[in-house]
Amino acid sequence: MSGTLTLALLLIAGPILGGLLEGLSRIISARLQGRIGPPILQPFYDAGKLFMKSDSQVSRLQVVYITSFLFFTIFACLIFFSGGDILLFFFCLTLANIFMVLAGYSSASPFSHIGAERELIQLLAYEPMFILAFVGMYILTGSFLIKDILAFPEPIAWKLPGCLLGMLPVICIKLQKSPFDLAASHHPHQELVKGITSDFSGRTLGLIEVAHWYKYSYLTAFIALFFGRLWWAGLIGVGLFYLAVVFIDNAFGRFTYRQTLKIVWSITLALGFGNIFLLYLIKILIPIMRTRHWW
Amino acid sequence: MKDLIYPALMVLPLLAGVTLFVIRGEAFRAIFQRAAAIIVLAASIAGAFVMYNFAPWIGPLPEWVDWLMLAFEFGLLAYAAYRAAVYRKYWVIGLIAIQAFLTGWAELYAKPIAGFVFSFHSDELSLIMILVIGVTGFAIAAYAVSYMRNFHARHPDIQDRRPFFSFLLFTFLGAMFGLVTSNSLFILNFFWELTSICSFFLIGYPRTDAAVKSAFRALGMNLAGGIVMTAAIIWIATTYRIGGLNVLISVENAALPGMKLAIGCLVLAALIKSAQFPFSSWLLGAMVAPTPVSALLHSSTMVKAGVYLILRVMPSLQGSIMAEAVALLGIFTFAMASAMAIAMRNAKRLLAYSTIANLGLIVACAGIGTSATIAAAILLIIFHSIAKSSLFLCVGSVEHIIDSRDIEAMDSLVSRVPAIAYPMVIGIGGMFLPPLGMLVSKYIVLGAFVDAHNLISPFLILLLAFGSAFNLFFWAKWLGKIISPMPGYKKAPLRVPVFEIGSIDILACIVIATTFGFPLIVRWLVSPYVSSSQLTTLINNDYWMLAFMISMLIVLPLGLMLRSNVSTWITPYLSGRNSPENGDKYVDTYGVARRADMKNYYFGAFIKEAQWQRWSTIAATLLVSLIFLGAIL
Repeated sequence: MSGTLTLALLLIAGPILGGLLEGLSRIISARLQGRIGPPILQPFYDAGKLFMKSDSQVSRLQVVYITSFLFFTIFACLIFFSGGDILLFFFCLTLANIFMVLAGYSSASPFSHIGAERELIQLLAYEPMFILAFVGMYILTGSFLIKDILAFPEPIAWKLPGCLLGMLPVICIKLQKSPFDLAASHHPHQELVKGITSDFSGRTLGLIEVAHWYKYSYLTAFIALFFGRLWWAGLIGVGLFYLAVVFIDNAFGRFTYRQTLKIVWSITLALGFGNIFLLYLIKILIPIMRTRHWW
Repeated sequence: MKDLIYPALMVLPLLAGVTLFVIRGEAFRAIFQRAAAIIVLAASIAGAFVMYNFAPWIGPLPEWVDWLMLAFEFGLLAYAAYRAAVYRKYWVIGLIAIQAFLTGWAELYAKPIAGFVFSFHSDELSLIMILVIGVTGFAIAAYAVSYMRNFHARHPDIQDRRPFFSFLLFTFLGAMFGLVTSNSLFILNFFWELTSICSFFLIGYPRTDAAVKSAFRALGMNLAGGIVMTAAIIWIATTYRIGGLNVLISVENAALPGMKLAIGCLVLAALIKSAQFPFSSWLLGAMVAPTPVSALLHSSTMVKAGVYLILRVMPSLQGSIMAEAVALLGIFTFAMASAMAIAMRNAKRLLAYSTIANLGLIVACAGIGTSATIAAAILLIIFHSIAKSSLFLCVGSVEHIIDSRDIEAMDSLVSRVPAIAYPMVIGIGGMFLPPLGMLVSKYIVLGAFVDAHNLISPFLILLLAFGSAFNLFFWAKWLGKIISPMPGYKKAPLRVPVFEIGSIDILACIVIATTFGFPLIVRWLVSPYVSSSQLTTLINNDYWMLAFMISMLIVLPLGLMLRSNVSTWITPYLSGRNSPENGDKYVDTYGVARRADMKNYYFGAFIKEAQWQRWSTIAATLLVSLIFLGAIL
C-alpha cells in the first residue's frame, strides 16, 4: 500500500520537479547571458496559459498521437519508479517517442514534417548510448530490474564513468538543448514556428509541455540511479549534470544532423563502448591471471 | 497411422501442385488453388497436432521411394540444366553436373556406409517451422491467385505460365515441410536441393533479362552451397558412419577430429541459403520476382531453411571459435543490412535488407548457442515470418493500386487505401514497435549476449544496439510516410479483390495474436525445446504489463478518434501562404496552389549501397574464413 502511495507521489512530484528544473535552467541561462530571467515558476505559467487557450487542431489525429505520447511517457515513468525492468522502461519511452514523431508527420506543414524526421534522427543518435548504459548496469548488477540496480551495494557510477558521461549529450538531446536541438529549437522561447511542434497549439502543446516535465523526472532519476544509495553523491551528480547541460546549451550553436550523429556516436563509442569493453576485459582477464599465474 | 503424417505433409502440397499444373480453366484453377491453400494450412495444423502428441520417428524409407525422389530431383535438375543451356550459362550446367554426380554418389555409395538412419523425426522446432510455413504459405498461395492475374494483366509481354507457377509454389511448400522434419542427412539434402531449384524457377518466372540474371545467380550460389553440403554429408557418412541429424548434433560427435570442418561446410551452405553477407546478393536480386515469390522465399521458407539448419547444428559447437565467428558474422550482417535499409526508397528492397538483417540476428543467436539465444531465435523466426510476409503482400497490393513501390509515393496511404494501409501499419509495427513481437525477442537477445561472457560480447552488444537504432529509424520514417497527410488526395479505387485483402488481414490478425499469445507459444512450443529462464521471468513478471501496453496501443488511438467534441480546425503552418481554396496547400510565386511535397531522409550521400556492399563483402568474407579457420584449429 505504501508502495503504491510512494509511486503516486513520485508520479505527481516528478513533473513538478521537472517544471522547476526547467524554470531554474532558464534562470541560470539568463544569468549567464547577463539577463535577470523569468521567475522559476514560469514554465507552469506558460503551460497554464496553454491549457486556457481554445482548442484548435490541424488534423484529427494530432491529439491522438500527443495523448498517446504523454500516456506512454507517464507509463515509462511508472515502470521506472516502481523499480521495474529498465529495458521495458526504455521500450515504453521509445514507443512514446514514436508517437511524438508520428504527430509531427500528421501535419501537412513542411516545418513539422522536417521536425519529425529530425526527431527520428535524434532517436537514432542517442539510442545506442542508452542501450550501452543499460548493459553496463546489467554487467555490474546482474539484473535489468531497477530495484536490483538500486540495491547494489556501491554506486555503479564508480565503475561506469564512461556510461554516465556518455549520457550527457543524450540528456541535451532529450531536453532539446542546444547544440542538439534540431527537431524543435527552444531558442527563443516562442512557440509559433518550432520544428516538430509548429502545428500544435493550446491544450495539445500544453500536453507536450507536461510530457517534457516528465522527461526531466525520469532523466533525473536515471542519472541518480548511477549513484544508487549514495543520495548526496546523486544530488551532486544530478546538479553537475544539469549545470553542464545549461552551459553547453549556452556555449554552442545548433549542430547539423550530421554533426549530431557524428559527435553523439563518437562519444557513444569512446565512452560507452570503451567502458563496457574494459568491464569485460577485467571480468575475463582477471580470473585467467589468477588461475594461471603466468607472470 | 500417425507415421503417415510426414508423407502426407509432403505429398499433399505436391499433389495439389501437380493438379494445378494439369487442370485448365482459369476460374476453376483459382478456386482449386484457394482450396489447396486451405488444405496446406489444415495439413500443417493437423501435422503439428500429431507431432506434438506423438513426435513419431520413421525408419528407412522403402527403396522405391528413394529412387522416386532421386528421379524427381534429377528431372528438375535436368530441366534447370536445359534452361541454363538456353541462356548459355554453361557454368551453371557445370554446377548442376557436379551436384547431380555428388547426389548420386551420396545415394549409392555413402548411404549404405552410414547404416541405419531414421528418415524423419519431429521436435518442437520442426513443429514451429511447420506451423509458420503452413500459415504463411496458406496466405501467400491464396493471395497469389488474384495477384498473378493482375500481374499478367499489367505485363502482357510476360508469358502466362501460371499452372507451372502454382506447381512450383506448392512443391516448394512440400519441400519445406520435408526439410524441417527430415532427420536423415540424405533426405535433408534432397529437400535442400529441391528448394534451391524451385526458387530458381520461381525467381526466373517473368523471364525478363533481370529475372533471368537473378535466377541464375540464386541458383548458382545455392547450388555451390548445396555441393559443399553434399560433399560434407558424404564425408560425414563415410568417415564417421553418421547419417542422421540426431546423431550428428551431439557434443561428443562434434568433438571428433575433422568433424568441425564438415559441420562448417553445412553451416556455409546454410549461410548462403539464409543470404548472410557476403552471400546476400541472390536475395536482393530475387526481388524482381512477382511479390508472392518474394513473400514466400524471404519470409518463411527459403531463407528460414538456412537459419533452421544453423539452429540445429550450432548448439553442439557452443563456445568454440567457429561458433563465435558465426555469431560475429550474423551480428555484422544485422547491423550493416539495417544501415543499408535506411537508404532504400524501393519498398521491396527495403524489405529485402530488413530480411537479411533479421536473419543475421537469428544467425548471431544461433552462434552464441545458449538456450536463451536459441529461444530468442525461435521467437524471431515466428514473428519475423508472419510480419514480413504480411508486409510483402501489402507492398504487392499497394503496387497494383498506386502503381509504385516507392516509399515516397505512399503519402497518406491510410486515407487513400485504408484497407491495405492498416494491415501495413500493423506489419511495420510488428517489425519494430516496442512491446510487439520482435522487440520481445530483442529483449531476450540483449540479455543473452551480455550473459555469453566472452570477449566478443561487447562487439555483439554494440552492433545490436546500433542495428536496432537503424531499424527504428527506417521503419518509423516509412510509418510516418504512410500516415502523413496528402492535401487534395483522392481515395484510390481499390483495384484488388477482396480475397487478396483477406490474406493480408489474416496475417495482420496473426501478428497481433502472436504478440498477445507469445507466452502460450513459449509454454507449449519453445520451452519444451529449450528452456530460457530469462524468457520465463519476462513472461511471469512483465507479461501483463506488455499486454496492457499493446492493448493501450490499440484502445487509446481508437478511443480518442471516436471522441466527438470537435475542436476548431485550423490550417497547417505554411509560412502564411495557405491557399484560400485548400488551406493544406500553399500558393507559390505564380499564384498556383501546391502541396508542400516532403521527402524523407535517405542519407544517400553517405550510405552508398554499392560501395558499402563491397566493403561488407570483404569484411564478411574474412569472417567466413574465420569460421573455417576455427573449424580447422
